[in-house]
Amino acid sequence: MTSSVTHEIALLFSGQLAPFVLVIMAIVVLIFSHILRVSLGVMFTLASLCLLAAWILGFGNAIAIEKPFFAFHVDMLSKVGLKLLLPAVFFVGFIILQKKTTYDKKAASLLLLFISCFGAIITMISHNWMMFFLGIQCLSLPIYGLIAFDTDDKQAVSSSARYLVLSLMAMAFTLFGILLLYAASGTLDLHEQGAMMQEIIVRAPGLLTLGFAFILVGILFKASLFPFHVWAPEVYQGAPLFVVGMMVVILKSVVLFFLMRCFFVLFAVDYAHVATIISFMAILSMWVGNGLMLREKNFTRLIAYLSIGHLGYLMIPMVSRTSIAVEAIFLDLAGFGFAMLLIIAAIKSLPEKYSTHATLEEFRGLLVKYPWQALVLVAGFISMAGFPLTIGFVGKYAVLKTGVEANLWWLTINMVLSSAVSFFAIARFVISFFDSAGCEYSDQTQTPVVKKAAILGAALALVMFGAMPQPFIGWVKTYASNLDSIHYSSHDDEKSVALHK
Amino acid sequence: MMLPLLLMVLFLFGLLAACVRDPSGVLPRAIGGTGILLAICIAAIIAQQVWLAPTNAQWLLSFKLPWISSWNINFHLAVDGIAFWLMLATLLMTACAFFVARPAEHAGSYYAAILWASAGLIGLFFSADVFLFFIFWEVALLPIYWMLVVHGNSERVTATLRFVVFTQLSGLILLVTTLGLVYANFTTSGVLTFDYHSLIHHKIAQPVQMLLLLGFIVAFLIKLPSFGFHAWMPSVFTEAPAPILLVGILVKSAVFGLMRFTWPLFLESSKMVAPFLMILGVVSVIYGAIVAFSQSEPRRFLAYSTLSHAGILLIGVFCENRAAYVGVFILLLTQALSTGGALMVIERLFLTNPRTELTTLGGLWEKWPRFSSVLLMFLLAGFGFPIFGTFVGEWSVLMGTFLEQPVICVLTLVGVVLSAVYSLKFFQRLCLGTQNDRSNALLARDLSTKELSLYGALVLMLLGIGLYPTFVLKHLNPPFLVTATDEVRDTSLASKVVP
Repeated sequence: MTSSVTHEIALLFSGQLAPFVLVIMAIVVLIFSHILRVSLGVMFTLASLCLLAAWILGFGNAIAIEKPFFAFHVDMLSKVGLKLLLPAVFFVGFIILQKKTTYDKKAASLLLLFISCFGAIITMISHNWMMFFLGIQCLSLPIYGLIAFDTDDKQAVSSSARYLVLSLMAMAFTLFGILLLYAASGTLDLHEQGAMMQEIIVRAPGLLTLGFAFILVGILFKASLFPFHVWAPEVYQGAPLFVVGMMVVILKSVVLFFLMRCFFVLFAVDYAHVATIISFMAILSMWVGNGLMLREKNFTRLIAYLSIGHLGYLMIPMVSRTSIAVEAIFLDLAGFGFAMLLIIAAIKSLPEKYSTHATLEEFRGLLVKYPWQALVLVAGFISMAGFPLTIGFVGKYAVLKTGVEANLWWLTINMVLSSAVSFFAIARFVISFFDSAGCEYSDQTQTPVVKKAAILGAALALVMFGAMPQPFIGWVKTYASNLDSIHYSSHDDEKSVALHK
Repeated sequence: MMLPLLLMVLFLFGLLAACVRDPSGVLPRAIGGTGILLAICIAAIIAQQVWLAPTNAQWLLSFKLPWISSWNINFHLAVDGIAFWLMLATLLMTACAFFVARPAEHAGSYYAAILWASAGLIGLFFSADVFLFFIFWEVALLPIYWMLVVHGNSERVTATLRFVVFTQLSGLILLVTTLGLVYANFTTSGVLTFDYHSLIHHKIAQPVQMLLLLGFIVAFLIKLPSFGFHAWMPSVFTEAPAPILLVGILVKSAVFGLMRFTWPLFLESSKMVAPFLMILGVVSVIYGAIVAFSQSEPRRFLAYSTLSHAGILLIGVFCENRAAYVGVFILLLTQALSTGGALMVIERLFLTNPRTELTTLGGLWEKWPRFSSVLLMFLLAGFGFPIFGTFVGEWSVLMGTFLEQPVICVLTLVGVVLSAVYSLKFFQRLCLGTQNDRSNALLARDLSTKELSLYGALVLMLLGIGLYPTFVLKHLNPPFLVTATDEVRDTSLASKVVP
């Protein structure tokens, strides 16, 4: 007993769980500096330094932690996911700083964001259903609050309540599913369940199917894949934009990385049925998301449908089981998240009427009224649409590549056709920026030069990464392509062999 | 080395022109002009190198850098006989577009768009890596979208949307087909490569091969456009500002794509689909001619006549005959000049009123003699009047088609005759007859001497190609195997084609 506790403490400080510790540190820093009323800039800088340290250190060089610490294992997925998560958290924090509100509210929003980030890290490194459940709740609870936290908008309250109720219901399904899997296998550990999979399929196929189906309800609800997407437009519409950013970038990516682990670890043996079901949902998700974009008049809802459609594409590498799947998911999520947060930052630097309940009509002639913000938005949206020489194209190309490599022709064809539809919707929106009839230059926003430079620089980076993707792809590859590092502490070498196929 | 330098010069000078703040527009114009002049100098050096290169080389000039090495994609620029001449034509048209560009506002970005569109198109002709080809295919469009949506006429938003949707659909299909080709080649040969010359030797089996071919063909037909895919064209021609004559080159890039990606890659499948595409070509020729006949808006007239001409190109590409292939190549160059020239000249009608209709015009010959005579030259060249380069091209295509498919040839001939009819009818309505009262609304002057000399130079070039076409054929290598009969036909043809 004592030796195990010492081992865990040693592990904590040996650097292998550095991000875990550093994010807790960031939270503590935020709390104390709030008490001491340190200025927001300093507070955020300190917290960001913790994030930066966590990003650089990562989970150390060790492939996996030999002896699990509270059922946390580190594998390649969590390493890659962390590299994606922390910049997104930083970016959302940056957007929070732009809010026009009081010190207390900004500080509290930052704190909630970092708590959410802590939950995200737990989810990413958990290999145990209970830990996953705790992590994902810790990730989403601050979001319920943040939606309605700092606004007089009635719709925000209803959004928050709706999301809370629906999300908790969905998670209850997941909890029930976890129990069913436990009933079938007698363990909550993903690896142990994975190792027993052959046996469970014979012994209790009903429990397994039902259990995993229930689990998927919650997971896919969080990611908002068809048919669990209905809440998304409604909730996003009432939520502040940075929370939308959190939901479509952080929450979605974390959930996807965990889902990927489920597929890799749990269903290394029997896989076909789940893949078929997910493929159907993915195709419908592409069409529903992109199709409904055509008729949408509200900006935030447009973002929601964009995200739903995009999630459909991401399911291609998810079911492909090729060695480049993780790389593709990472590239695509990174591109999508980057463009999305850039769009949100640009909109935040426009007057207030563009951030809440903005209709698409209000963006007409934006290029004349607010030239530089409009150009940033154009860059962001054409990246979303997957136009070459943007980071979005690199991601979309990687996804398409996995689809072609894995011979998933149905998914690929649907992706191409539905993304043509989304391209039309996006093009119509973006072209309306140029429709200058009756508009004149009216930029009264007085954005500070630093902020303007940051946003424009990010837009430039979006294009630079798209034009010269090699360093970026090479860097991702060092993490993602080495599937050997999906290491399972239990003795299942044949499984990692199977993954290579 | 000169190849990337050419693209860099166009790109950087465009960037510079876009960044300079000068409301009067003089400085951007000077910068852009310098860029084009420098590009022409570099092109001259390239021409010299190409001239000295051995005729049987795989590429005449080549430049290769690793680009996305994880995916085995190279930044590989290379020149063959077709690409070289199309590059020259593009530069020439860019200079013309630059000359006629008269931006009311945002002058810097306007000139930049012209230079970037030119860089994109030249890059497209130069790319020897299929991925790079796709990238340039898309990138060349972006500045054209910009010109159309910022500087177009009143209905520009709708026109742009239509153009964007069609061209992007084409781009998506091209992307998937390219990927499909590369991975199909990977599964059969085990080598993951995007290099054009490595892909030529693929061993892809039949159903897949046919699908890939159809993918390429559809992607290119949308941009050509052939009958059935032409909905974007009239509105772009009417709403675009003057430098849209670059669209003339854009259209040619589709034919270039067809020449690159059909016969050399999929000989067997191309044989199977060729008759259908020739029929489609004939339909385009006749449909375009008939619709052009009834147009009362001059730019729509030019749009439909371009559609009709594109049909001849389609027939020539797919009739699997060396003579026709050579004809297509000559037509590519000469039609770019004649259609571009006609678009530039016609633009003068819209200087004072962007919604001028043919019904309000008439008898322009007396008022604008220079305008009318230059327009007549371009129209004559357009329908292939002898001694113009277009005649040599059209004649060669028809000759080749007659040897392979006489019926198609006869039907195309009907189209060619119709094209002469509608062109002359158009000229008659516009320039001859009594001076229409309402045409007094045209307050602009006749062509200035400067403009006249530019158009004169274009006409001279058309004449030059018409009189001595072998000059442009030096490095042309048609992809068809030379058989004994071909040789016979070739020599007999050559004696007829070359005066």
